[in-house]
Amino acid sequence: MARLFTIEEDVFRLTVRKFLDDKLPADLRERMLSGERPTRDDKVTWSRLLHERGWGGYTWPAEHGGPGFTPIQRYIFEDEAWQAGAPEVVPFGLKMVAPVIMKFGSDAHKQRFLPRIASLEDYWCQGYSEPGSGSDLASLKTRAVRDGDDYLVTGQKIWTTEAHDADWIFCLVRTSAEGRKQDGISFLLIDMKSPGITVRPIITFDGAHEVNEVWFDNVRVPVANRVGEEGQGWTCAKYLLEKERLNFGGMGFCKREVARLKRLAQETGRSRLDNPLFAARVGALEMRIAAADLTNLRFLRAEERGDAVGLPAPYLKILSSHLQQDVLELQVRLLGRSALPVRAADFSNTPLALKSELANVAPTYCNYRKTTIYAGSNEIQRNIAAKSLLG
Amino acid sequence: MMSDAANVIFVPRDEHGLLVGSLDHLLSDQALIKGGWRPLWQQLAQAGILSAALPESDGGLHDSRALALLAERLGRSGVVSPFISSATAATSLFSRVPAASRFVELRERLGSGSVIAAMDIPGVVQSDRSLMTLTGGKVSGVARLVPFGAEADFIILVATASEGDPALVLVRKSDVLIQQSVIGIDGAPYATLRLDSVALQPESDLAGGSEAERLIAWGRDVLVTMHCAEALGAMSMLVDLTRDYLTVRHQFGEPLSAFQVLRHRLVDMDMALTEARSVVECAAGLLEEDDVFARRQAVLATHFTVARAALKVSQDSVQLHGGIGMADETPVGGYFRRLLTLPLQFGDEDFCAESYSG
Repeated sequence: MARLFTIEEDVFRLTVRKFLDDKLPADLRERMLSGERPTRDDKVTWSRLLHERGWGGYTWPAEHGGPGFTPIQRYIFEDEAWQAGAPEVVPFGLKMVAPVIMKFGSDAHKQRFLPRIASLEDYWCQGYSEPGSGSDLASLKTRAVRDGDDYLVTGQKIWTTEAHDADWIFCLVRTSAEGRKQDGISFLLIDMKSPGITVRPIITFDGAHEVNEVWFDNVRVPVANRVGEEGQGWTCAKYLLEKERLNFGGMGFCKREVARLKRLAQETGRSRLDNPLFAARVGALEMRIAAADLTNLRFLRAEERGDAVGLPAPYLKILSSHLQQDVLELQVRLLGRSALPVRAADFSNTPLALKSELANVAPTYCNYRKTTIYAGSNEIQRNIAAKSLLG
Repeated sequence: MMSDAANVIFVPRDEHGLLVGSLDHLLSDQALIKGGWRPLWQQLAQAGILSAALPESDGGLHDSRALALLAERLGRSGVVSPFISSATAATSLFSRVPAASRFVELRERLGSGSVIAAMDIPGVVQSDRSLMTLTGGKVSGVARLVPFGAEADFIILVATASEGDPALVLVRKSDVLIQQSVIGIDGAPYATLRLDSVALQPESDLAGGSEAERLIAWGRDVLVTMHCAEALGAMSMLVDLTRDYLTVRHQFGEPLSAFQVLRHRLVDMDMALTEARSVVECAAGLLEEDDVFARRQAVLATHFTVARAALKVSQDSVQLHGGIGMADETPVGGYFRRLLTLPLQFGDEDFCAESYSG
């Protein structure tokens, strides 16, 4: 008989489950399973727990201080963590800047930054988008002008997630206006405490403060904080985007939220699951999630044996972003009027435990419209895929 | 005993490559393909393709993942044959029924291509419930539009016994009256078969009661999964044909592949194909699963995903080809029609969505 996972992988899953059972605080677990979005402290708590177990850099190879999980072990770890109610790890350090530092950084960069990423002593954010450079990222204008052993950085980044929580930002900056626009870009690591940085919040239409504008006014950045050569920033960025999209993590979210959708259908006493049309919508969604999840697993098996199959990165991004939106849409549809109030206190005749849960549903639905836009909009993903199919 | 790592879903096995290679070699003969399934059938037998479903002791692979790969390649070739019913479902079934040693000889004959079996497992959709009854050891009733029903030497049928229990029975061509014989939308033959008080011989009684229920559910899962695998092959061909067409067809002074809207539509077709491949490979691997619920869910999710993908890929292939996509001589139409048979025979995506309870 064929199996999806080897015996060894099943054993690993049990090890992860045991760790989560023992260590993940019940309060945190409950809040995450009821749809609350994690705070900075929640993320720090979780990262410290992982760090103590030696799993702080769980996506990293052993040579850089990670546990050296196989691609499938990473998948299993994230799958279990999501189901158990762990908060999502902060991806900007662990999954985004760290691989770039490992690939393009100096030994000094590795020694200085990687351990503090694994322990979340340094909280990172990503300085890519600019007001005039969204999908056309390579047109970015934030300038870095050489001044002795430093660069002077001036310009503006936007949509910077958690810049207000961050200690460090990795930035794409323009070091040359000559030649191809991609060739004039460099990759800088910038301390958020540097004089000349201003962070201004952007409130999104769900009411949340998640993203920001980050202004740079002659910010002095040591040349030593450049990763890769001058002009190699675009290469770093493309490498990072590849890493970001594989193992996107969206499936874990979807499975957790489908489970919550079904629980809410019971707990709100509406028994909408008895309605054949609604039940069929839930069934269809679950099967779409299963298909995308298996596709993720299939790609990881290929990665494990060093094969390239299909177009993993764009497809997984497109599929998981839509599924995340669709499961939240079904939650809103399920609740009807119960999704109108957005403050827990505004719910009357509702069990205490449900109040904040219900209040989160519509805002989260609004918030997740971001998923088809960020990390390269889905239209950009289709451009990338089309280039590989059609040239 | 095979080591655990040797049969992990999504990890190719060496045997698969060899088997698929020999099938591809046969299918590369255009003259053979054009002649329909009969001339191909003996070639398949000689290449060992028809015996792949036999137990290892009989020279087969006993590996449903391999069967799905073969069904996929046949689907890609566009030849519609009794491969799914005869060489996958029936052949596997004859080594799973109680007292399977009764069928050693029949299994050999199926593997050598000297006989073929048809299989009708109704009941997926309520209106298609079995119309066959088993009373006093005699089978009577009608099996409607059975694929290759008139061509088959043996037919596996589901009958309802007087107590309401299902029975799985095997009848011979000579026991059956062909009430109607038609060519379907896909060009394949279908026959409505009538049985009038056919007395069951000891070897015709495949299984009864809960054993029959188990085998019927399993047989249906095999048929659906293999049809999905065949559809996967057809879709892969349509995506390739469409991609090629976009690069050679020029309008407004440019190849169609220069237009973003068409590029994105091709990507969506290929993405649907990609997901279909994942679910088919998974379901094929789980066909031997002891946990019936897990197997059933995997097959339903596969059926759903492939049914959706098949409509999308076939419709968009015609659209992206434009007028020429409507022409009968363009290969697109043949695949379009064959892909229609998955929902027609086994139910559409809505049926799956209603039935799934994860």
